[in-house]
Amino acid sequence: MANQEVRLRYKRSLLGPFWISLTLLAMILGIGLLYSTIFQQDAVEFLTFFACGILAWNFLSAMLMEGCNAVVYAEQHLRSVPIKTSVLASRSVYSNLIIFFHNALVVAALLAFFRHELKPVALLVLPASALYILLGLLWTIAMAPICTRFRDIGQVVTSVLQVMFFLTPILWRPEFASERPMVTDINPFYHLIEIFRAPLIGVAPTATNWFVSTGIVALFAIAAFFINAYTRKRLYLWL
Amino acid sequence: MAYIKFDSVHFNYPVFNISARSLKVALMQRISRSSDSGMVQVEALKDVSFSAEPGDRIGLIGRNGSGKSTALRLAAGLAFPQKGSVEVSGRVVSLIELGLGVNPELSGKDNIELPLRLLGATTEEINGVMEDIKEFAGIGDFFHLPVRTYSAGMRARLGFAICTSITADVLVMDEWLGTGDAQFVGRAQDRLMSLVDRAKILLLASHAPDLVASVCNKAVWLESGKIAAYGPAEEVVASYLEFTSDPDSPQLAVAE
Repeated sequence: MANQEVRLRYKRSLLGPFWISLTLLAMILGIGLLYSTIFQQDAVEFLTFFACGILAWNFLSAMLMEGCNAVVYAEQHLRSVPIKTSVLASRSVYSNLIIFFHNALVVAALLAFFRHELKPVALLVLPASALYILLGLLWTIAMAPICTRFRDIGQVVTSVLQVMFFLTPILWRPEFASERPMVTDINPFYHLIEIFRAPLIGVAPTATNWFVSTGIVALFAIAAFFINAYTRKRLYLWL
Repeated sequence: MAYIKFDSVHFNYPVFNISARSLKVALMQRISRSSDSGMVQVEALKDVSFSAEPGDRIGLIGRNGSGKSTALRLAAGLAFPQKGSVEVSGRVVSLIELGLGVNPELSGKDNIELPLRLLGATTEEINGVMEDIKEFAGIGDFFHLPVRTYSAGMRARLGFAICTSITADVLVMDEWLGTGDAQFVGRAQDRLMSLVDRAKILLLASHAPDLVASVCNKAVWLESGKIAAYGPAEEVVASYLEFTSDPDSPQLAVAE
């Protein structure tokens, strides 16, 4: 199902999903240069920081947004065949993962162009990505049925994510808010982004970053379990 | 072993209007203790019991809104009863909607896999029936073109060929499938009959009592969600026909 979707995107234009990645590249260069000027930062260093951050953010936020609609998208199918929510969640996460790989290539090319040297600590992006995927799956299993019952939750999630994009240090460095550490410390997205971005920049994420991130995943694991148990038999009524 | 067992099944259907779909509204109502929840419960099935063993061909008859389709959806494992139990064993293939999982941008060939997967086919089966579908749909070179370019008839033929290509233990069907031009209808009927013959159990909901009498051995007559008659197809159909010629008709039960 997901393969079909990705193939479809390829089919429509030759560049296919790379269009999305090119948009990302333009955004990184444009906004990155603008903000490095505003904040009077070293352009290359800031661009590296921004590129790694936005790569993580795009993957994460796309999974969270699409996750809400996973069941609603499959509404038509669900009216005639039963499909497990976990299957729908895998589909949603998988197609975002493919897009993520395309974006990652663009960011990797950018880093190579800057001659940015990756340190061995960069390998930590692998567990970080695995954690993202897990979160995406669990979030979707938990949220998709609820968003089917209450159709306006998806919009709320989208708005919240838009605000969080600016509240999370992606466009700005966490040091800028050092006088008010609360802004970053209580923001779960800060920790989630940090476990992915920090290794790429060459620093190990802090224990707190890991702790909060795994905590969020664990929370959604529990939520997914209970929500699934409660909604499994009712979901059809909400289509 | 394949079987279907409905044991005193009760099933209510909530009907949502727009406001009942909104969390905002739901919260506001909690606060203001408003009684209008924007939700109406429809009692679709009341105390329905019947069972089928291998070899059984069960027909569901009744008027619109009598609960036929609901019973099919319960048997197909889409919905679950609030009271009573539905047990179904064996591979269920439900032909409730034609054109399931068809993506208009992809070619007929590429469109075969997803619907079959949704119906529960394995990779081997899909490869096995590929040629069969191509041949039966009879759409020639269009097979490799996007479904978007098909005529309505071609689309229906492809959908029909796909749906009827895999063998089921329990076949659940909403209305007898019929489609296409005169020449195709004949072939379609043959194919459908062979599909029905291969299935161990058939559960068919239909408006056509004659069809039920000829295809099925048992019949369930539903009236406002209750079983009005259950037994050998011919007897049930006969009493149903007698009843429908009588014009006094009670309304569909709606409970708040």
